[in-house]
This record gives sequence, C-alpha cells and structure tokens, in this order.
Amino acid sequence: MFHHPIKEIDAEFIAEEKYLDSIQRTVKESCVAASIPQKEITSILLAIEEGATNIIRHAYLYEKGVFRLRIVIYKKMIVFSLIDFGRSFRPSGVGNLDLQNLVESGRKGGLGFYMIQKIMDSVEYISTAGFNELRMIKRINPSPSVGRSFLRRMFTLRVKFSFWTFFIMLIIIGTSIYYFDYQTSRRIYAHKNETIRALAKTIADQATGYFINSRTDVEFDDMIVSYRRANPELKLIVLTNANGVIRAHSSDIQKIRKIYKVPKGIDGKKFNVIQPIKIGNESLNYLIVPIKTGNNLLGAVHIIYSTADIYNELTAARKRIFVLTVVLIMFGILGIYLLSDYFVKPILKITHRVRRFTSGDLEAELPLEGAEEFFEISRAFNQMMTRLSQDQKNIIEKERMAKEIEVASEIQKTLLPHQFPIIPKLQVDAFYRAASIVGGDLYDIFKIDENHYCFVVADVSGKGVPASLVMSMLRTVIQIYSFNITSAKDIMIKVNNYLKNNTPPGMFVTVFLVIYNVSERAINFVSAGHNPMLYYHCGKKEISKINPKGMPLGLPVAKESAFENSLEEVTLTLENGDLFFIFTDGVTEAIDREGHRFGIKRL
Amino acid sequence: MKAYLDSDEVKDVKKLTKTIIDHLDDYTGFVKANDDITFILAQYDFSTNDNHSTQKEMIVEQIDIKDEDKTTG
Repeated sequence: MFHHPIKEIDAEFIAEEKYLDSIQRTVKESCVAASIPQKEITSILLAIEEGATNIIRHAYLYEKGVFRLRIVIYKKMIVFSLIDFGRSFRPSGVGNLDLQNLVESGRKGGLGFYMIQKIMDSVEYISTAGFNELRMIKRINPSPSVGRSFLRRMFTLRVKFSFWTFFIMLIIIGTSIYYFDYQTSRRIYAHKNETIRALAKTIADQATGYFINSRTDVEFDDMIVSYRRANPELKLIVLTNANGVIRAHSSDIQKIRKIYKVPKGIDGKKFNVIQPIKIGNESLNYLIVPIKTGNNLLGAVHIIYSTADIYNELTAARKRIFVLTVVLIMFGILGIYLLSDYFVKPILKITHRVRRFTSGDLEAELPLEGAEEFFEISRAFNQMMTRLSQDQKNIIEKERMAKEIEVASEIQKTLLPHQFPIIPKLQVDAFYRAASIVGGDLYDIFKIDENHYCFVVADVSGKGVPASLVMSMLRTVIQIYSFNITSAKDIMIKVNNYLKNNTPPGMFVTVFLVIYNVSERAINFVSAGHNPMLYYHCGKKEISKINPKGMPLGLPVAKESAFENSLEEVTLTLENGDLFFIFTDGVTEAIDREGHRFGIKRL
Repeated sequence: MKAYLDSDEVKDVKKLTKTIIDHLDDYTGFVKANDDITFILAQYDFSTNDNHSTQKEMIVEQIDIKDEDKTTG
C-alpha cells in the first residue's frame, strides 16, 4: 500500500506553543515538496496545529516535554505522525467520531479531532507503553502540473543569457574576421597582380629595344633568364615576335624559333588581362603584355606566375588570427559568465526568494542592493511580499474560521431534534433548511410531562455564528424553563427574563410557542413578535390566521412588566382533523427569480 | 395547503410537508434563500394513538450554499 517513501522528515520539537510556527514551517515545506495544492496545505496546517496543541495541552498538561513530528511522503499520500511521550488523551471514537455523542458528552476536546478527521483522509491514534502516536494520512492530489520538460528546465535564464550572448559575440567576431580577411586578401592579390603587370611591362619595354636592334637569341634568352631568377614567383616567361614565333623561352630553349601556342583556356588576344590557369594541381595566373613601338606590334611577353606565396602568407596569418580568436572567445565566455552573474544574480535572488515564500517562509526580505532597476524590483517585491504575507495570514485565519463554522454547523444540526416524542392523537412533522452554513432559526418539539407537549418555532435576528449561538442557547433555556410549567405565556416570560440579560445588544428573538394538552384536547399558545399561526378548522374546511400579540424576546424595556403585558395567550380546542402550522418568515419571504415574495396567501 | 387538506385523500403530515416544500421550490426556482426556512405542522387525529412520524427521522435539510450555486448556475 505504501510503496517506497520519496522523502522522510523526522524532527523533534519542544512541547510549547511558541514552537508551533516552526512545526507549521516544516509541515508546509513538506507539503510543497509533495506538490499538495495551496488550499489543502492550509487545511493540513490547521490539522497539524490542532494535533500539536492537543499534545501540549493534554498529553503534557503544559508541563515540559518533547514530541516528534515524522513526515513521510509517498507518491500518492503523505503521512504525518505526531509522537509524544506524555499521558494518553485518546478521545472517544477517534477514527469514527460521532459528533452527536461528543456534544452530549460535553467533551470539547474531541472537537479538534473531529476537525482533523474532516481535513485528513485517515486518522489513527495509537497509544502504547511509553508513547502515543497520532497518525494522519492525506492523499495527494497534486497541483496542476506546470508541465515543464527536462529540456526547458535545463534552459535556465543564465544558460539562455550566456548562450545568446555567446552566439551574438560569435556572429560579430566571425563577421568581422571574414570582412577584414576578405578585404586584406583582395588588396594583397591586387597589389601582387599590379607588381607582375609592371614587371611584364618592363620586360616588354626592354624587349622592344631588343627587337629594334635585332638582338641575338642568346641576348633575348639572357634577358628573360635574369628576370626569371630575380622573380621566383614567375613560373614562365616567353617572348614572341609579331608572328607568334618564340624568341625567348625561360624553361625550354628548344622551343626558340618555333610557333608559340597559348595554353588551353587562355585567350591569346587579351593583352594586360590576368587570366587564371591550372597546371597540374597548381592554380596560376597568365598575363600577356604587348611589345610595341608606337602603333607597331613587335611581339608579346607571356608570363605565367604563381600567387602561392601570398596564399601561404595569408594561411599563416589566418592561423594566427584563429588562435587569437579562440583566446578571445575564451575570455569572452569568462566575461559572459561574469556579466551573466551581474545581471542574473539579482533575478536568481528574487527567484530563490519566491521559492522560499511558496514553501512558507513569509519573513525574509530581499536585500536592497545592485543596479537601480534591481533596487526598485527588490523594493517593490518586498512590499508585495509583505502584503501577500498578510493576505496569506488572513487566508489561514479565514480557513480556520471556515472550518470552525463548519464544525459549528455540524453541532447546530445535532441540536435540532432528530426524533419526535410520541404524542398521542397528533401527527407531527417539521422542516428546516438553513440559508447559510449556520442558521438562526430554531424549532423544537419536546415533552413537558405525560399530558403536555411543547412546540417551538423561533427566529433569531441576524445571521451567521452569533445568531446560531443565541439559537443554541434559546433551545436549552426553553427546555429548562418549561419544566413543570404548562402555560405557554409563563414559559415565555421566564425565557425572556433570562434572555434580556444574556443576549448581545441589538439582538432579539421572535418565538411562537404552543403547549398541547392531551387530556383537554387543547392547545394554548403565545407569540413573541413572531409570524402568525395558520390554523385549519377541519369541520369548517377553512384556514385562519391567528396572530396573538406579543413583543420579541430579549428587547430592553423600561418596565419589567411590559413584556408580560404585551403577551396574549390563546387557547383552542382541537377537533378531529384540525391542523396548526407555525413557521418562520423564511417561508413567506422566499423569493422567486423576479424578487417576488412567496407570501402567506400561497400557503 | 388548503387544497390538500380539503381533499378526500388520507391525511399525512409528511405528505403535506413535501407538498409545501415542492410548492415553495417551484415558486423560488431554487434561488438561494435569504433566510432559513423552518416550520412545524401538527394535525389532530382522533383515530391515531401514536405519532407516526416518531418512526422516522425528521427532515433536516442543510442546503450547502456552494451546491446550490452550482445547481442554479
């Protein structure tokens, strides 16, 4: 049934009322951990407080002592055990408490247990040699789940802040590097091409003189070999005349005096334009510069050159930038962490505070520190917490009152007669429906002696608990003062004498009291400011409204005899089938949806 | 109430109680009452030796406001 516990708490407390707050805190934290809804937590706190108070008052009789609070959280229930080592104070019927018996026995101590039973799903009181245990079980109906997945919980504010900051930083750094690399590379390559173009022009200018002076092949060859040696990035230099015949070739002198064929993919008529060419796996550039004198084309300089040195330099530079970037990113991550700490820490503090609040700690405040915004948030939060704390206390108090009113309602119901006495020649029935949890109406039917029976319907002014308390008192007072008295008026006078000194100012009671005399087949009755009686004359088949004069009970009067003088006592002899109906104004003043009263005529 | 009492039907105060309450509820349409509804009725019946109703528990109806609110919407 119990499976494995999820969590166990075992704490010892000194049996003094000033430690009740600590007990409540412990219980509340456990309830929060068990995902019990807030409303139920409030009720559970009431039950535990009641149990602990009973130990202090009844087990230890306010003497020194300790007791243990053991809380075991299971998946579907939470078990609270209050274990004391004092005297056993087991109330009768714990586990199956009968409120009727409790009221009749007058043991108010059992009411606390009754309340605990109302709150908890199961209550046991175990008293064995040496200790007593009050075990209370509450089934867990978890709070509606917020439904946050593990992944969502992983992405805390700090992680999100760090991730996005890092991401943005990476984009900025990456874009910057790419831009500067692109610009630098383009500039370096452009510079290189211009250098080669200028070199080719120099060769062409020199070759112009050679063509004009009809230099020998050897002289041509010496010239280009010297250029080739001076510029290692030049892979090939070929000089051709206007007919395309090779006059000098830097790599193969065997090709001199032969027709030069431009490599495949190269347009031989494009002068001064750098054209890319791939030889083997190497990417190279091809440049043709004309050899001219005036407008006469004497030939052309063909140059193949490499930019690998630039590429190698750029690659080395990029490696250095990459290492630098990684180092910067590492510093960036550290900076982000510190920055997130700066921004997120105050928020985490607020979050932590909220968690503490939900777990029942209503006291601790947020420190007023940090940036202006956080200062303001902390101050507003503290103000809000103070108000919430007060509201929370009010809610607990209201809950306590609601529970107490509920118990009062149960008690009130037990005060109403559940069974009528056996009344000769009379069929009797009664009806009671309270408008609120506790009502202010009373009815009672009881036996005075073998020949007399009393019927009472009363209405206490006002509603709620005060009215119900007066109502409870009134029932007892009428029963006591009707002892051996068979006059409705005499009873009413005695009851009024008591009530006028024992009801709160401004509160009064209207009562209709009937005494049935069995042997004389008669009723005598009085009305203390109450609704009239409806009397059905069976023989005449008509209903009369009988309204004897009389002041309400409990009103302050100048003369002692004023109330007595105001009362009019009526006596009627009953015929077979005659019926009397006494009621409160709740019947005649019941309203329909339009607000119209039921009235007496509809009866 | 009078119609019931005038009828030839065998009189039973419990039936009369139910008649009154049904009539009252029909009229109010189960609107939440402002005040408690309480009454006693007693009929003299020469042929009866005992009070029939002692055999039964009284009707004590506690309408919870919340439940009533749900009913009436």
